[in-house]
Amino acid sequence: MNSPSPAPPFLLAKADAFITWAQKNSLWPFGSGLACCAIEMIATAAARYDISRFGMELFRASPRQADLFIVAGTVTNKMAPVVRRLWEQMADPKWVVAMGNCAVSGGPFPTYAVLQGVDKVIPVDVYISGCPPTPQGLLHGLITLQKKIARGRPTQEILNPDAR
Amino acid sequence: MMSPWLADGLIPLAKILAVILYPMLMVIVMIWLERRVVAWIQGRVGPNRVGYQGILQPFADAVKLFFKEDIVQRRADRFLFNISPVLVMFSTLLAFCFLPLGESFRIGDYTLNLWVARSPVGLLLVLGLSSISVFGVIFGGWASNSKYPLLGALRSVVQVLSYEIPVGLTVLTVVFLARSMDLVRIVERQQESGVWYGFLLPVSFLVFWISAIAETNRAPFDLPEAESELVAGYHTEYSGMKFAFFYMAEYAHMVLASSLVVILFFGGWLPPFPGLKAFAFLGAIPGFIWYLVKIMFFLYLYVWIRATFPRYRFDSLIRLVWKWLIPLSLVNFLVVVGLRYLL
Amino acid sequence: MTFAIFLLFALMAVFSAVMVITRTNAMHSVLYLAFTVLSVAGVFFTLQAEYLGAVQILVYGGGIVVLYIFVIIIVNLDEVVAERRKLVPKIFIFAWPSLLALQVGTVVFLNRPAARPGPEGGLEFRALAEMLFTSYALPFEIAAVLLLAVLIGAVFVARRRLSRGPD
Repeated sequence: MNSPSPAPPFLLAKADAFITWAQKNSLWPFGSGLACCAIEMIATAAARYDISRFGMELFRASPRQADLFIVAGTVTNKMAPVVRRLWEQMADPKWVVAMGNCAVSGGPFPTYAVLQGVDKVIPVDVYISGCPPTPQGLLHGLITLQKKIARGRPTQEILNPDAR
Repeated sequence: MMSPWLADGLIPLAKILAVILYPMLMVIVMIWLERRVVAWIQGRVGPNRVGYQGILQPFADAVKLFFKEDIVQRRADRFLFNISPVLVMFSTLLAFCFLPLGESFRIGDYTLNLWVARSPVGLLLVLGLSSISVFGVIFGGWASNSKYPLLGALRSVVQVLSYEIPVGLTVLTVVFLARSMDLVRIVERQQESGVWYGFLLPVSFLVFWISAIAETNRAPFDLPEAESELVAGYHTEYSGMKFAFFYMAEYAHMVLASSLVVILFFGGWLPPFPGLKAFAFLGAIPGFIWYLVKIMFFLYLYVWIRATFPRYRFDSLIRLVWKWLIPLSLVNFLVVVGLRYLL
Repeated sequence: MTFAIFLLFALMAVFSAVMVITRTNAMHSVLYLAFTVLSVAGVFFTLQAEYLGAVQILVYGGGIVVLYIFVIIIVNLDEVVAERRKLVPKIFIFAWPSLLALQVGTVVFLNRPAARPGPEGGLEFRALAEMLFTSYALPFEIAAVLLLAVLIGAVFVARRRLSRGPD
């Protein structure tokens, strides 16, 4: 998406707009939490902040049905293969949000046991800093992700899947 | 005057379309209703960004699921894995063919029936077709070749088979009173007798409703897909459109169960308060509207129950049906038959 | 038109019945068995035996086939060793159904009964019940006793194995 590509034909552009509209408005997160950030994620889903306004309250327990992996918390070296595996089990198109300083860069744990940023094992779309980030922070990150999805060109991926 | 090709060609075609579109429309409304109502009960807002008050949310979900990757694991049984969502959807949609949506009315000299098929054993057929949708659940759970789907499928078999017994026994009391298994005839009998069977047979209605919730795998009996124990139950390994089929079939099944409750116990398309002169104006509203209103009430009840009760444990679920509901419905049947002959 | 639908259901029934006995995967066999049951129900419908068709779907489709699946899942099929059959039983396996088919065919084609029209206004439960409890009372009761015997036998078999088990 970084390289500037020519503007798509009119119909494909419309199809892109339609598909991305659906994708950004029905991001089903994967119900996983690694550490204390998960508590803030739960708070985001609860009454005061209510993630469901964006159609994101369907926390799927199965990675096959989830679109969004919110890596909420410290990724230890032991947990990293599991995180990687869960990400691989998710069906395309999928997005990853690194929530909290630990997931972004290892945070306050520059030690031998902690992965220094989850982007060492899986590609991350949006980074949210904070220790832990507030629910407002998470919502801001999710809205940023929605904007990123809206820029996507899903028809290009469908028409030539090898180009990815 | 209606030309024959319209009566014999176009209207059946329209009915075929309607019998697919009507459940789908109800499913979409139901998904939106459930998410909004559950949010409301929990003091949240619910989806409100897509369309007016979030009404387009189910469309967005469907489109997104359509464009998602379709995963079939290497160890899965491809044939059964692919056919089970179809089985679930097919049996549920087929059952809708036998549900009347209202009384037939005349346009000119043509009588338009608001049902696709009317059968003297319509009730048995609907029950049978809704019970074979368990095939898809079992085959899907087994074909995934994974432990949680298999456990969910096994639970589903035990649960559906157990809860079919009280359903059959309570339906028998209605059939006994109406002297017919024809769904249209059952509603007509309620019109003739002037009282809906739900008020005549409250025990039958309660047992049927509890069993209907269990048969549709809904909370508090949603053990085949209990998230805290079985990930997502029998459809854990399904993604994309196949998962959407399971998801939509579950909601269509709920619409089916609600329709059955309305037809058997709450007078189908009849307006309320049939005996009272003061409420005679209610009869001016078409029966189809009344029918939809009643169905929506029971769908709302589904959501209300889901938001209120915690999930049952599996042994208490089975104990509930074998130790309480089946003896209760047996006694109920005997009492109804006895009263019918004594009074 | 009705004949075409009848033919469709009948061919589906025969095809899936053949598939039942030719599949090596037991689960696939059961799926085709379910298709067979449903197609036979469809045959009943085209013959205006609606009650029979509905019962076929409800009892066989919804109950018995589901129990078959349950048993297949519970019993580990890998432990079941395929038995080697000699030539004579093999011949027997093919001869017996073909003889049966021959007999059925002879009966059907030699004394073809005149088709009777179905009762007006669908099906009469009273007539069905009276027929079942008067002219067919004895077969009905015998079938019930047979089921009872099967039930007692199943309980007996299950109990004996349970008491011999280590736990």
